[in-house]
Amino acid sequence: MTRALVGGLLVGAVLTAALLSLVWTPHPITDLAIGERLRPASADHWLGTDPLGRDIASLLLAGAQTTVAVGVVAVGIGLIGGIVLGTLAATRGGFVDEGISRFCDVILAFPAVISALLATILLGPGAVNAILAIGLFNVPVFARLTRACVRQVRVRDYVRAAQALGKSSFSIAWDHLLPNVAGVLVVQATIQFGIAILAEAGLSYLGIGAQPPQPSWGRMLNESQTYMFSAPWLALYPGLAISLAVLGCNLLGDSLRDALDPKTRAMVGARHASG
Amino acid sequence: MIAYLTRRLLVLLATLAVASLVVFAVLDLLPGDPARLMLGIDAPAESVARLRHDLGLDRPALSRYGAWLAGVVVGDFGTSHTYRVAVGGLIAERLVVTLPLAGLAMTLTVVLALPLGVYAAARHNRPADVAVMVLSQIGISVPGFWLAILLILAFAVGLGWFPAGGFPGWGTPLAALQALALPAVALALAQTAILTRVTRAAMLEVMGEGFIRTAYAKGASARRVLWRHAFGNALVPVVTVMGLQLGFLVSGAVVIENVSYLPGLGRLVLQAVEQRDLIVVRGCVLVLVAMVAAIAFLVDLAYAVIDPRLRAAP
Repeated sequence: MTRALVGGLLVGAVLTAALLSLVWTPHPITDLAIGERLRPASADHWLGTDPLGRDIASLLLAGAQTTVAVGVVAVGIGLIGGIVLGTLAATRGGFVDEGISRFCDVILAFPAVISALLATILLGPGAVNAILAIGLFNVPVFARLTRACVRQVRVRDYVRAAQALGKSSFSIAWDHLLPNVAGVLVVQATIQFGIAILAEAGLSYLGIGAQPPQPSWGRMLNESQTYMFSAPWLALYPGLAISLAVLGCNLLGDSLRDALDPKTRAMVGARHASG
Repeated sequence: MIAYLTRRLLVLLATLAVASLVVFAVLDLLPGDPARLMLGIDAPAESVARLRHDLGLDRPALSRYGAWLAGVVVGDFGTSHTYRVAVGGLIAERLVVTLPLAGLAMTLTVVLALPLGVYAAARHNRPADVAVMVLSQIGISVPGFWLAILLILAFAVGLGWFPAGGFPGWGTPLAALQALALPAVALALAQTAILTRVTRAAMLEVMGEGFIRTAYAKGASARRVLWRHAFGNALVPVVTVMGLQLGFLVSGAVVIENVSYLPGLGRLVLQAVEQRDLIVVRGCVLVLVAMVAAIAFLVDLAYAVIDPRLRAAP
């Protein structure tokens, strides 16, 4: 219960920060004040200023927008692609199943960082390309999970009854299969959200994710490294923000999983290692 | 057993073949002229024409792919246009940093996670178990590259015990290990946290089985039951995750190497992307993907050794 509460509060805080920063930040994030650069925390700048004199608290709030956008879109791509492919593989079997399973093997052989590097060469660096790369990597994760769950559900009596009644494959999948695997998918989506946040931060740190002036926690860490000796606190806040956001997703995912049927726990077992 | 091995080997080869096609196609189907892209808009026409010839762009795509693949099989990945040396040699030079870094991180992970996981399971729901679970939850959430920055701040900038970055080469093994220590710890933390949780969960599952009760009933000591009876049977999920992690460590090194300025494969590939040296990118990506696929194959082999029942499974 504590886990769910802490997880919910942390995720809620990130969402609130993202929404709030759309209408208000303590200082405009485009305000460059070179005279005010690298100031420690004060009443005017709660967390100090960065090398360009921008307010760090404002940048952190605005950075939450990138984090939430990446999580939602990357997980959305994975969910939609994964549900379609996983359901097809489980219900059609044979060549379709084999083909989709091998497709998943190949995609998983390209870790998100590598796919993002390839996407950068093809399309140039940018947050959208990073999101696409992370989303593509999520597709096989959800496809495998959907396939495993649907295979269990499709032999149940109510599915056979629907088949006997002559319902179409699509309406069987929509009315009977997906509602019964939705819980497991929601849990996995929460966890993949955290992994997507970590991946985006890593890519933006490398300079191939979000590009300036778009604020991003990973990019802030990249910029902090140059001032490691003179302003070590610059590295503290963005990293803390990323860690707390990911912790929130993980706690929420774990408590949701425990709230579900214990039998489904094993299915979302080896989740993080795939990231 | 032979059928199982053959099937797994075929899957590996098929994955590699498709991956090589994807890597080739992605970099070959770039919008515009790849040679122009690599050299920049201001490059003289003769240089572009020469690079087009070097890249084989004046030949059909299929013939280019065939020639590239034939070279790759014998370790010839082409010549880098920025470094002016063979890409194969460049990759080999960088692997000498990346592989030991991943190996060191994996060793740390296994040495810490397995005992911690077994310990937590043996003290299920007691304070020690809860503490391990809370710490592992935090460990999973901390980005490795941020931890690497913090470790450098504390142990290199602050205390001066380790170098802040760079790699002195294996000529001085102790200094080399010292340079790899902080990045390896940063790379290992999240993986240790994950493996601890997996080990604990697998142990708890096995500890509920009848043969554990039987072992206790026969008078076996708690330590013997824990390590000999329970741990051996909990290994399948643990090894699965370890395999996935080794693959992740190899690719995770891409980010960490750039924090610590380690001249590994990850740094090479990022620099090559920035310099648009497609020949190097192509070689590096293929090697990284091949390593991840090969590790998955080795995990499949390990299954067969650990659990003979799995040999029959598809």
